[in-house]
Amino acid sequence: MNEMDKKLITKVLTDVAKEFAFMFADQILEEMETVPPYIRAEMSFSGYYSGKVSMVCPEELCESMMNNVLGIDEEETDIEVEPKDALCEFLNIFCGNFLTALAGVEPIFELNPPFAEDISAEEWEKLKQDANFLELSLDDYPIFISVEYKQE
Amino acid sequence: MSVNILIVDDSKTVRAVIEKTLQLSGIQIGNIFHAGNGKEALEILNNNWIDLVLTDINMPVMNGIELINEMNKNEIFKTIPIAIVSTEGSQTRVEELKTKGVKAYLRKPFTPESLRNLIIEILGVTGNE
Repeated sequence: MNEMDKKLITKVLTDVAKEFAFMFADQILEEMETVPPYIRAEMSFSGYYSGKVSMVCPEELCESMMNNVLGIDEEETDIEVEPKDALCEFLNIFCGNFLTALAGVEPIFELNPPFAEDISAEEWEKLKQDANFLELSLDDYPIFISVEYKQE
Repeated sequence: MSVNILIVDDSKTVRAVIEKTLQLSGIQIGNIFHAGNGKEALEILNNNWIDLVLTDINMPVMNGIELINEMNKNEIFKTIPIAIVSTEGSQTRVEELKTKGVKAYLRKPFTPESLRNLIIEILGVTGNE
């Protein structure tokens, strides 16, 4: 991942996290402790650029995000929304805003619906060595982001 | 006058946020209906009186543009105001949607105030906060 993409990803993620989830994005200075399960969300897009966006984080972050977005108290238990859905929507909003930041407001993009799945602790550990992923923090949780794209 | 609103989005999170915003908006809301895609939305439109449709664009099964095209084929549905709530940032697409009768466009992430103002503007109702 080149430095320009890293800067753009960081800026868009910071803005979307603040406006959508009331969360603060930051650089990671030292390794953060996490507990499984871990969730990977992904979506693809096509148009002026085609590619895919992925985010991976502990499920705890998805839960915290969902609680923030919906204004849920910790005691509330009758919630129909799944934490994974909150991450998928965060990814969806990030993707749309990233593409505008990258390509401007003229091109039309087709965004495919995001999906989320559990990943193992081993896969999570491997991400730390993966140069395609940028690691940032959202509040007290780490999140890995990857954007792959090519001009059509 | 209370208004019935149909929210069309494949994300339950977004539908829940919009519903919560509507309930806190001070606007007199009647019933709020949820649909996960355009096909589900058409079923709800066939069976209920709807005053406003808030729809996403990118959805599985039937997307927001296909939903708008279907609504425009029906003499009653084409009179229902439609607002887009989407992450879509293309001005070209927004202009294209306006030619199909879309009344307003709200980009995600949105603030509760912007959603409330959009509904007030489209329906000409007032918020009683």
